[in-house]
Amino acid sequence: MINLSNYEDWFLLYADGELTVAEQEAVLKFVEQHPSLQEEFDVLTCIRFDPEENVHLEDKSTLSSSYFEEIESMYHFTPDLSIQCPDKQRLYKKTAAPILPMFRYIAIAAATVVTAGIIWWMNADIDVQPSIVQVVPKQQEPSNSISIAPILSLELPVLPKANKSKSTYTLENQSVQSRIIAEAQVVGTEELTEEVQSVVSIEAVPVPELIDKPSTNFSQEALVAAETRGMPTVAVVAVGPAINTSMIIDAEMNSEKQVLGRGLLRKISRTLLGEENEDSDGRKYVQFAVFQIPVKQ
Amino acid sequence: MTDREYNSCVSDHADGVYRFILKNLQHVEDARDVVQSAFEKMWVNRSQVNIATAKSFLFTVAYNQMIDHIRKNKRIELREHFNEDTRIDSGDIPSFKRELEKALQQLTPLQKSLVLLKDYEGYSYEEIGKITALNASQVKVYLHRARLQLKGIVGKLENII
Repeated sequence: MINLSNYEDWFLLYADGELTVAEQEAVLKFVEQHPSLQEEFDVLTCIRFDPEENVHLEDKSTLSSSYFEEIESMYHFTPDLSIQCPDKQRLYKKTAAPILPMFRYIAIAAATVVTAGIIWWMNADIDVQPSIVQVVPKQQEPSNSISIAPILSLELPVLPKANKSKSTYTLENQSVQSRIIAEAQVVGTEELTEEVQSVVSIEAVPVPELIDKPSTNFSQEALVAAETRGMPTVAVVAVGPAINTSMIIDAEMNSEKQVLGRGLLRKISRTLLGEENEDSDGRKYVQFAVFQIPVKQ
Repeated sequence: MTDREYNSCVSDHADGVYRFILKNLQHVEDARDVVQSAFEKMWVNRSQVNIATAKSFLFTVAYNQMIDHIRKNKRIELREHFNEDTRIDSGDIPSFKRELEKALQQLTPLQKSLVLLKDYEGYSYEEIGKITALNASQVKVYLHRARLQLKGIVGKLENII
């Protein structure tokens, strides 16, 4: 309610037109009751600024919608799509194709395995003492019995066919006699060779039945092939299992001609294993895996 | 807001905005620039402006433009180089009105805006608060201070009459 302590606020609210009709009547009644405040009330209510109706914005054309539309159309540009960058290819960034991480690991693992395998193979070839497995020709005591089979049952059968050009082991397409003699020359001394020649000459008597076929690792097919090659039976009988094995080896190797890549494998084995090595004693040996086989001087 | 509604806003409110700005800036060309900027802004935002709030939008934009203009002029101090012809002509107004105008120019821009928005346009405290970014209580306090300041400048009732 208006009183002497807050009348100024009421006068200002009255001047601002923020009072209701009842409040305005209360203010007017308060002023009538306090004539000393009449002048202050009149000053506050007179301080008003009425709009000057004679003041106008002369040119409103620049405010109209047509003006702004004209401005927008005037400053609206459409791109000429026929104009293209001449050297656009030069702007492209070319990045290398990413290498798969797994491929790199697999390649490293494969290289490691291959390297380890080669080292293991070479070490296995070196570590084996040749003296342990070296085949020494056994000096047979002169005897009337024909027992050259133990001598000839050396590792001759395992000699590869590829060595025939450099050694006297394999005597393909020759008679069994010459084969036996040749093998005896390889293994033994001159006395042994002569003994073998004599034995072979003695063995002219045919034997009605074959000796027991040795149990070998050769295939049945090779055994049959050896028999069908027309090898004289006498030779088989004369040399026993060793001769038989040599023949089977030949037949086996002939049958291997069907194997694909056999020549390549032979070349690799020849390169890796070597064919002839000269030992400290001056004798030549053929290295085959972990075996050293002496060859004819 | 359609183009027709926009044009009706120009017809209805351009003079009021112009008077309000001219009274504050006391410069015709500056007032025209501010009004032009205000209507241009409303044209750009016409899709978001309702016809019912168009007047308030115009005064708000014009007020902000005016404050920016005043701050800019205060910084570069160009007002003293203005030609006197561009100033508002108040030659034929009565003497008490002239005194009152002089008193008004001694107020701050905010006080002037509050007084003119109240007296010219009859806005309430809340509406003035929306335009000037103040709340109703602040508007009331600032406006009463401005009126008491005018009362102190004008003096007694005899000076006004």
